[in-house]
Amino acid sequence: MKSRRGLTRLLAVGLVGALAAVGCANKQDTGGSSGGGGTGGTAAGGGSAFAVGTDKCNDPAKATAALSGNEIKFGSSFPQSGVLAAFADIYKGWDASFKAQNASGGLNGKQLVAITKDDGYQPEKTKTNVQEMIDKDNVFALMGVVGTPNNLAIRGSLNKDCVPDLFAATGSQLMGNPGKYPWVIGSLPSYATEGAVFASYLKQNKPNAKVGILRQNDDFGEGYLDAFKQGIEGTGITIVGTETYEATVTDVASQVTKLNGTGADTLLLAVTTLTCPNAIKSVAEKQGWNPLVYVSATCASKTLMGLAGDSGKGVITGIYLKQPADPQWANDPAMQKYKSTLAAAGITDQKEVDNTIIAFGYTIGDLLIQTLQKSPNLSRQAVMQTAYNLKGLTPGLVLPGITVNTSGSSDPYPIEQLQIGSWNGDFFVPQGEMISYEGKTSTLVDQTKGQN
Amino acid sequence: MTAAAAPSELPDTSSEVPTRPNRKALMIKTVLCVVGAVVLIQMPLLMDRSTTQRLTQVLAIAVAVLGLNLLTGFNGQISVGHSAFMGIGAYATAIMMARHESPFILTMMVAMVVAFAVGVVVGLPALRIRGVYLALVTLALAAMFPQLVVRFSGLTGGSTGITLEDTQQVTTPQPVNDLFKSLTGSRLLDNQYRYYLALVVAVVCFVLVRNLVKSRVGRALIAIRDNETPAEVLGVNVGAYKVATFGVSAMLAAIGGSLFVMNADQAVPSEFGIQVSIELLTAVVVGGVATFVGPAVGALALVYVSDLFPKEHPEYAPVLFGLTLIVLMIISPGGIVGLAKQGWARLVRSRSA
Repeated sequence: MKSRRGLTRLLAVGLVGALAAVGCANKQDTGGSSGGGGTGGTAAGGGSAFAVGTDKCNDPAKATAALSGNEIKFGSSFPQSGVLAAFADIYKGWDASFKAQNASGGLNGKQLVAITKDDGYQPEKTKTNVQEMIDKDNVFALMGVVGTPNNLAIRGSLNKDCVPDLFAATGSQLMGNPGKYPWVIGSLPSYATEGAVFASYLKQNKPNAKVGILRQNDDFGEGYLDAFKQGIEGTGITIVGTETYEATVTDVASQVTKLNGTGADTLLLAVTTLTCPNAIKSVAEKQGWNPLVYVSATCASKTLMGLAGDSGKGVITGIYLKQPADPQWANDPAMQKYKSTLAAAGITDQKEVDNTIIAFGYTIGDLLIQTLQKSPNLSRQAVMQTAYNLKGLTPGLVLPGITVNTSGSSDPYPIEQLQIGSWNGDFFVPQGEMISYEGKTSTLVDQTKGQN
Repeated sequence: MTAAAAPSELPDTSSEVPTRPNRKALMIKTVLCVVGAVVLIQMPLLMDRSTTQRLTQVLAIAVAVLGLNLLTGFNGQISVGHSAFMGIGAYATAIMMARHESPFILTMMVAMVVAFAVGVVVGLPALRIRGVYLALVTLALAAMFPQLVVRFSGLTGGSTGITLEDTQQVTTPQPVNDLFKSLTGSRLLDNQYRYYLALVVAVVCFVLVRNLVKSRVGRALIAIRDNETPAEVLGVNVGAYKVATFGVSAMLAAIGGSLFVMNADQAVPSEFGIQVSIELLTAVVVGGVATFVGPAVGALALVYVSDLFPKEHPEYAPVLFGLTLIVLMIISPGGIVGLAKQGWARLVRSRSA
C-alpha cells in the first residue's frame, strides 16, 4: 500500500512538471518572436548589390577562393526511396541540362558533375548527407535539395561552412531570408506569390467572388492564406469560409462539405500531393455546386491531376513553365532544346518528357548554368552573390514574359510571375495575362511567422 | 521471443570455481574495456565531422534503445510507442531551446520528468493487459504523437517542425574550449563537444541501467518477466515495478530524443513516427535482447546499416535490410551480442581444453 502512495505522489509531481513546461512554452509562443527577417549583413559590400559576407565562415579564405581543377561538383539530397520518391525526377531534369552543357565543352572548360544521396525526406539524413558531401566529396555547392524542413535543417550549418545551397526545391517563403541565411536560395514560385496572383486574377475576372479556402495547416497553407488576404483587401472579394486539414491526412471530404455549406462560388485549395485529386473529386461530387477551383501549383503534374479524372477539367492554377504536352510550343526553340536535351540524356519516354517535375528540374538546371556563367569568378561567395543579384534571365522553359530577377533581401525570390492555366485533361492551358509580383513577394511575407 | 533469449543472459558465474581460463577471460575483458574506452574517446578527434555527427546520433539512439531494452528485454513488456517518448524528449528540448533559450541540460531534465509522467500513465494499462494487447495500446501512442505535434502547430511548428537558429544551438562552452586548448593546443569543435556530451550522458545511463538490473530491483524485474505469479508470491510488488519500469524506460527514450535534437538542431514530427518505434525494437533485437551492450550495438547497426547496401539502388535497401534481419535471427536469436557471446564461449572453452 505504502509503495502505491509513493507512486501516486511521484506521478503527481511528474504531471505538474509537465503542465508547467507546456504552460511556459505557450506563454512565450503568443508573445511573438524576436529576430527573423532582419537585413543584417546585407550592406557589407556597399552600393546597391547584395553582398554575401564571409565573416561568419569557419574558413573565409575557402569561400572566396576560385575553384581550381577541371570540374565543378554539385551535391544534392532528396528522397529516392519511400512515398515521396517522385521528387527524384527534379534531379533527372537538371542532370540532363548538365550533360548537355558538358557535351558542348562544359562551363569555362570545366565539366559539371552531380552527386546525389538519398534522404527519404528525413531532415536529419539530409543534414548528414550534406555534411558528407561537403567534407568528403568536396562539393562546390548544393543544388536542388528537396523539401522545406530539409533545407531548414541545413541552412544553419551552411552559414559556417559557407557552401551555397542553390535553387532549393521548395516554394516555402521561409527560404527568402538572405539577411540571416545568405547561403540558401529557393526556386519554386513561393506559395505566397501564388496566393497573391490568384487574388489579382479574381479582381480582374470575378470581382465579387465569395471564396472558400481549404489549406494545409502549416507554413505551406499559411503562405497562400496570408498573401491572398492581403491581395483582396479593399475589394469586393470576400472569404466566406476557411477550413484546414493536417498534412498527415489526405481525405478532406468533410472540409469540402463545410465549404459547400458556406455558399462559396470560388475555392482556393492550398493543398498538395494526394490531397489535390481528393479535394477536387470531393468538390465535383457535390450536386449543383460548380465553383471556380484554384489548386496549388504543387498539384500541377499530370500524375496528380490525372487521379482527379474528369472532375479536374476546368480547375485552374498558376503556371510558370511551358507545358511540354501543350502543342502550341511544338515549334518553340526552348521546347525543342528541352526535348533534345532530355533525349541526349536518355530520357525518351513520352510520360517522362511531359512530366512537369522533370521540366522544372531542367529549368533550374539551366538557371544554375546561367548563374555560373554570370558569376565574375567561380568562388563560392561570388556564385552565391550572383544568385542573389540576377537580372532578366529567362532559363529553360519559363513562359514568355517571365524573367528571373533577384536582389538580396528586398527580392530573394527567383520566380514571381505566374499565368493562370486551366486544366484540359492533359495540360494547363494558359489563360489571360501574365500576373507579376516581381520584386514584391517579400512584402507579402512575414519571415518571423511560422518559424520559432 | 524475449523469454527464449532470456535464460542465456543470466549466467551465474559467481558460483563457479575461479579457474585459470576464467582469470584469463577477465584479463581479456579488461583489455577490451580499456580499448573500447580509448576508441570512444578518440573517435571524434580522428574522424571527420559527418562521422562524428553520425556517431552522436548513434549515442542518442542507443540511450533510447537502452530504455526499450530495459522494458522489453528485462521486464518483458513490449512497447511499440517509444518513438513518442523520444519525440516528447525531442520537442521538450527543441521548444525550450528555441523559444526560451534554455540551457540544453535543463531541457533534458524537463524532458525526463515529462516523459516519466507520460510513461507511467501509459504504463498503467500494463497492469491489466500484456503482450500483444499492450503492444497495441502503445502502437496507438506512436500513431498519435506526430498527429498531436501537427495539431498544436503554434507550439511545435507543425509539420515543418522547429529548427534551432545558430545562436540557439549547442556549442562548445568557452571554459571547456579553453581547457581543451590548454591540453591539446587545438579548439574543441562544436560537433566534437556534442559527441562528448552525448557520450557522458549515454555512459551514465548505461552504467545506471546495468547497476539497476544487477540489483534486487533488477532481479524482481526479471522475475516478473519470466513468471509473474511466483514473483508476486515471493513478495514482488508486480504492479508498482511494471509501471515504474515503464516510466524509467520512457524517460531514457526521452533522453535519447533530447540528444537527437541537440545533434540535429531540429525536431520534425516525421522523425518520431511509428517507423522509429519499430526501428528501436529492431535495434533491441539486433543488438541482443536483455544484454547490457546490446542497445549500443543495435543503435550502431541501425544508423550504419544503410551504408552496407548498394548506393545506386536505395529502393532495395529496405528489402535487403529485412533479409539481413531474418538471416541474423536464424543464425543468432540473441542478436549481435549473442553471436559475440557464442564466439567468446567457444574461445574460452578451446583455450581451457
